[in-house]
Amino acid sequence: MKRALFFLLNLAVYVAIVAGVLFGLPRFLSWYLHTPYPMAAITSGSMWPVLHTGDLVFIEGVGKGDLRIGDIVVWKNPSGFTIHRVVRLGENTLVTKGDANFTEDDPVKYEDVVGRTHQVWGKNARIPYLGHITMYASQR
Amino acid sequence: MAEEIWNLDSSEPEKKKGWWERKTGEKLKTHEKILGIIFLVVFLFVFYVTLDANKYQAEVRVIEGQGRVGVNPTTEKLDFGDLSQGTRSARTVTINNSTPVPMFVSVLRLGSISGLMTLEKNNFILRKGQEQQVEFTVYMPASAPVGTKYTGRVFVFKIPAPFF
Repeated sequence: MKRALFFLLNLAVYVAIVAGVLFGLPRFLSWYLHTPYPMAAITSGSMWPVLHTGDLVFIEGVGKGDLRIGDIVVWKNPSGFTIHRVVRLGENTLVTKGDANFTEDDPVKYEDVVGRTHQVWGKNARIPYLGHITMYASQR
Repeated sequence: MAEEIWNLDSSEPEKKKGWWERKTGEKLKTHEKILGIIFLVVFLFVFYVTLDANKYQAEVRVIEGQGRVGVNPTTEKLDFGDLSQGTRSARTVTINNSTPVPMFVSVLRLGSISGLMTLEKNNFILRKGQEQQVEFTVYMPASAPVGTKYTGRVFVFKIPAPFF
């Protein structure tokens, strides 16, 4: 009886930890990074070699005044999200370009910018391969 | 000392001990034996699949200019030749299954070239006697520095899949 209770207690603790990580982590990241979209999976090689297909990157919310040329930003478009580097900042729009692309993207309105990649020690915070899970799940 | 030896000789004949018991002084329990056998089977399976895999060296060089492609016609490795930014080169590998067991084919790319290389098809079943061509394409993006050589290895694993 005592062993069964101990087993159930252990199980409850593990379930609580898993649930905390699954549901709590995205909420925590949203709060910490000031954005409703704190993570993004890289689905193409347009930012190679800085970001690779399958990387999971962290996004931080950013205001218009904090954006700089060279930042890697995430912006909304009709087909989803794009993660490219800022090459020009204008009054109402900014222009981005994928490092691996030859052409610039069409101008993007500031209100469409979701955020920029979160940096740790001057480098983009990314988890290689973890983005494949998100990509796989979204294809299902 | 002599007495000790005599005592040993007079005792019951010892049961034959296994290697593990001789080393540790403890007998293997049934579940430990089962786990050991499972581990051994898995190890041998992985060892066989790895040994049986086709392995290719892959490389490509970035050259200056626009629309320039220099192809090395070697069949020993996946040499994509010299590519200028914005160009692409493709090589084909033929995979066949000459065994009576269906095979699950999985291609693994390693090295700096893997980020530039795309595969037409991956993770598929090859039935007995079937042959399949897989095309590997390397595209040289605008961010590839001129003069750089990207290398890597490509492993084509054939994993027995009798239930598919």
